[in-house]
Amino acid sequence: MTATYSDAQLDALREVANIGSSTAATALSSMTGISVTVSTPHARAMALADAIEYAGPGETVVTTILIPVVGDLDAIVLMVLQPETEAAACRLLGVEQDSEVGVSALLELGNILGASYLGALVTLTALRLEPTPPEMVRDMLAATLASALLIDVREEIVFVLESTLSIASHQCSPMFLFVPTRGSVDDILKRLHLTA
Amino acid sequence: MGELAVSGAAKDVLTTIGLGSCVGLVLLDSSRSTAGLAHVVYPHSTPDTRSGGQPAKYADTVVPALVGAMGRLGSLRGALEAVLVGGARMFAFVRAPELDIGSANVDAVARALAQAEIPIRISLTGGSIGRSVRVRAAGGLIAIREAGTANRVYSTAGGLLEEVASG
Repeated sequence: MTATYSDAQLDALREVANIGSSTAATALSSMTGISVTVSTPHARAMALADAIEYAGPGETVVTTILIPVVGDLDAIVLMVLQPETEAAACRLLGVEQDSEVGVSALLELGNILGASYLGALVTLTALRLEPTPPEMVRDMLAATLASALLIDVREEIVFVLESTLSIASHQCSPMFLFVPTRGSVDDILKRLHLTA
Repeated sequence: MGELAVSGAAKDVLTTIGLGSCVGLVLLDSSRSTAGLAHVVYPHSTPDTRSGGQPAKYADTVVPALVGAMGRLGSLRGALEAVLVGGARMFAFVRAPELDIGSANVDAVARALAQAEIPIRISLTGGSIGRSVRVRAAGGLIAIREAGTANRVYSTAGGLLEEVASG
């Protein structure tokens, strides 16, 4: 299924992510008071089942921030934090993992990054897209992702963005999944002047 | 996802991990030591998807497909017992009943089993937790794990499918 999208199309999506990354870096720097850089070196389009497998062992309990998106098209943005990534994120944000503050900091992190990616997509496509309040789930990776991707979506292509946050020499790499509803992938590509 | 497997071999373990809203359907025939497992994704097939050759993916087509596969191992429908695992609602924001695929999947599989007159012996379904299931045909052993907990093990060894251990 990956072959459905050309390198040029995936490059364009990675560019969207990179523009979003710089917005996110600015927001995170002002939130933490420390200089934060965000990069998104990889953008991939995958079949749903492949994306779940790619994300890691299905039984591992991971933390997922889910942001439903409404507007001209419905979509879901997911941020997946493997256990070690979650610990790194909490260290970067200066909060204690599993504490109330830790949870709200992770929600905020997902919100900032997710909203930044969406903002870039909105700017480049002129689509109206709005994030709704995020929700956090800690459960088996496959159970979380499959269930999120199956909610009213039924699009079997998922965009996977791997981003890296850096503060000084510390890094953490959450994975983002952007799951548009059926048909809207082509709409997005058309608006990026990359008709499928 | 959407696949099925059957086995009558002692060494085989049929596995599906990380079931959220999806349902794992286990069929056991303790008299012949055979087992089947299907990973059901959606409650209803459509004419479009029915031609796709993945009957296990849909609750309304999975039961005949799995019963048929068990039949090829020599197991008759009347000897089968069922176990249902999964069908959770993983996200609180899913409030609209039509978006709660998990409970729709459980209901649809249960209806199809009733139609086929196959009794459900164990149902570890619903709630908001992910689950895995592992099945060994020999001895009718089933291990079910919920996220962050130990396996619960069930067996048909005593004649009835019952919980024998956890850990």
